[in-house]
Amino acid sequence: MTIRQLPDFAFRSASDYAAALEDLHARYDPVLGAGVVDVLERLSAFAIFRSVWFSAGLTVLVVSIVVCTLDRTPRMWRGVTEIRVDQPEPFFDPRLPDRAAMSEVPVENVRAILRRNGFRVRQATGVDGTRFLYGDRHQYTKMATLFTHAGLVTFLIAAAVTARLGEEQGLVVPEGSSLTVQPIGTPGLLLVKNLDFQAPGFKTGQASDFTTDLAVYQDGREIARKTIRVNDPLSVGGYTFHQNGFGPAPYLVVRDAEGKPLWDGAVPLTDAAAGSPYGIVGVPGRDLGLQLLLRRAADGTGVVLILPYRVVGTNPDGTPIAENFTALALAKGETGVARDLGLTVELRGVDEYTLLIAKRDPGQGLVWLAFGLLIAGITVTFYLPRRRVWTRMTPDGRLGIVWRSDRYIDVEREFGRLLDQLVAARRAT
Amino acid sequence: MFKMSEYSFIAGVISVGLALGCYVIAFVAARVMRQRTALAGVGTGGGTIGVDRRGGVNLGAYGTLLVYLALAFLTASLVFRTIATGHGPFANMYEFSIAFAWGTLAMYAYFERRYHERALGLVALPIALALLLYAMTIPATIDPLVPALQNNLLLSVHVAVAVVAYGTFSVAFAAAILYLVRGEDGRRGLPSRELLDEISYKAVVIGFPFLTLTIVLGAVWAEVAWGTYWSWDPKETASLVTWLIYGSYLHARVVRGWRGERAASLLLLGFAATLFTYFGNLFFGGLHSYSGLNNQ
Repeated sequence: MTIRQLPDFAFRSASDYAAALEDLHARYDPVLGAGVVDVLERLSAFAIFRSVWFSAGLTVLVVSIVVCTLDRTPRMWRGVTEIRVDQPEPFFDPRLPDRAAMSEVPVENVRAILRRNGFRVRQATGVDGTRFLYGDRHQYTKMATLFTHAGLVTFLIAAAVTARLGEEQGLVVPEGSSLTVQPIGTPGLLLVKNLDFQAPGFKTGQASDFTTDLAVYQDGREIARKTIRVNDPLSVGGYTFHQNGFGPAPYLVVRDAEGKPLWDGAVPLTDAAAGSPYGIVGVPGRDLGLQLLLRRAADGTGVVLILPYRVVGTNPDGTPIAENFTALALAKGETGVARDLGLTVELRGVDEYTLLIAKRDPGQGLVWLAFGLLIAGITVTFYLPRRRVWTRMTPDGRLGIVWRSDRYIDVEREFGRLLDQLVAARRAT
Repeated sequence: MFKMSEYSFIAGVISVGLALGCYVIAFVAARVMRQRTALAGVGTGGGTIGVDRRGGVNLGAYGTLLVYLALAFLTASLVFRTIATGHGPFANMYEFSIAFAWGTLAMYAYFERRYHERALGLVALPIALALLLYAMTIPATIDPLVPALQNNLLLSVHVAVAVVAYGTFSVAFAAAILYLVRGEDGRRGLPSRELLDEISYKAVVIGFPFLTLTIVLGAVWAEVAWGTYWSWDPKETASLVTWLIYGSYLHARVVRGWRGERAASLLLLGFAATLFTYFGNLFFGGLHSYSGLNNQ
């Protein structure tokens, strides 16, 4: 059994939170019991990524990675930079692993072969005339692990920046309608307008694509317009607008007994009830609401069931007590009259609303940087590992060779190839 | 093109089946030969199906040839399918199963060529064959891409990279299984434990960066498509768990010097996680429900 997390909208208001928690109770109470669900809720088990203990764990992880990395770095740097070229004789003992001995290879040939194989060569001469050549290939790549770890830390920091300073919200915009992105009064307020929405479908009824002709306005001026689709968002004004979903939005005109319009617009049916799209709209100027349920027929036509209601009280558990009135069933172009309420309701048609995700993410640059560091670090670490070769040539022409590399190098093949070249160089003399 | 893709696929399945048959017979023959030689009091020389040519016809070599043939057929199948659909052959469970099998065969062929050990094929080829047989049970119909997948570049790169990662993990799993089966005495005619340990490690070293890239590209794609890098859907979570297991394996090996049975067991766990990542969304749904099996 998985523990379902509370959706983002649950944190918009106390009532949304209570409603979402009610769903969790309905789901888990029969299995776990109400007490356990309450305890889990108090432990933030339904909102793990917003919990204090998760943030604390993340902080400990970041500190741990940073401290371990800082602890290792000086040792790694010494290992990379402090090189002893003139190793003692026992170091070259050919009975030890990854060692070889031969004779009669001129030192110039050894140097040339090492360079040809991509080694950076250093040399030293002993007091007895023994000559040492040291080859290092990809000397600094060991430090790439710092990139990997820095990438992990950057990634966690980016997540924290996004969580604390970022903003993400769903915008439900019926066709032809506008919506503000930030709260009214925000300087540089952005406003989006759904100019056109298209959702061509497959034969199965599933949408083959869905697009919104979206315009973005700031201070009354259009600053961007683009037809966005799932894989092609619009970025403007610090926000990115992603096409996320869509649904039906019946266009209603509600009038009072004198024919004065009280509501004239589309109502997005963002919820579902009994497997059908469902939504609620309040009637402006009246203490009434309308519940809307869309029933679609197989031929694509639909009937909207409209149930007027009035909230007359509150149950002990906080849920509203509603007084329901006579329901109306309207097809496109029809008008119904709720005589007991003095209202007429006209269904002009069933449009579509578009669901956009508006996102402002100050951590995005850090996320890309983290991804880059992570990939670069891992790639360099595993695909460009360090190889080192020590050679020791005594004045009487004996050559000792030692190979050192990480375990994932195919030593037999690479060292063997180097030895073949040295043997060939010996024969050439 | 669709028909050509189907014919190539069937030819690929037959080739893998025949290759596996060759390997099994060659392995059994080599074992029998070795037992007889041992009974006769002659040293066994440690031959495996990779080097034993005392059985007359070298079925192991034919098996390898058939592996290459299977790779060619499956490559052709995927190419024909790409031409027929107009996008990378990774859009549903049928296509991904063939691609996964292709990755397993390709990585097996690479390691066999590098280490001259056909014993790996005794485990790697059944994995590929099982994936192909599974693909045969899935409808091969070509359906238009759902909106979320309509990003040909990221679809192709993201899944192709995953195929390489999964293929290498199959080889690592094969080596780990052989390592555990072989035992200390090595009487089962399998490669040395050191070599199997080496192969599994190198396979993970190749596969791990590819898995990392798969996850990163997936996050990039999710950000473009849905406006969120990570949604903790079953496939994402499973891929992260897989990454952590293989990351732990590499860390344990490099930092703690893990070798032998502990490391091999971790690889079994890693491959179980890989398979869960591959199949998980069939059972748990989520954002990666593109298998094409939901409408059945």
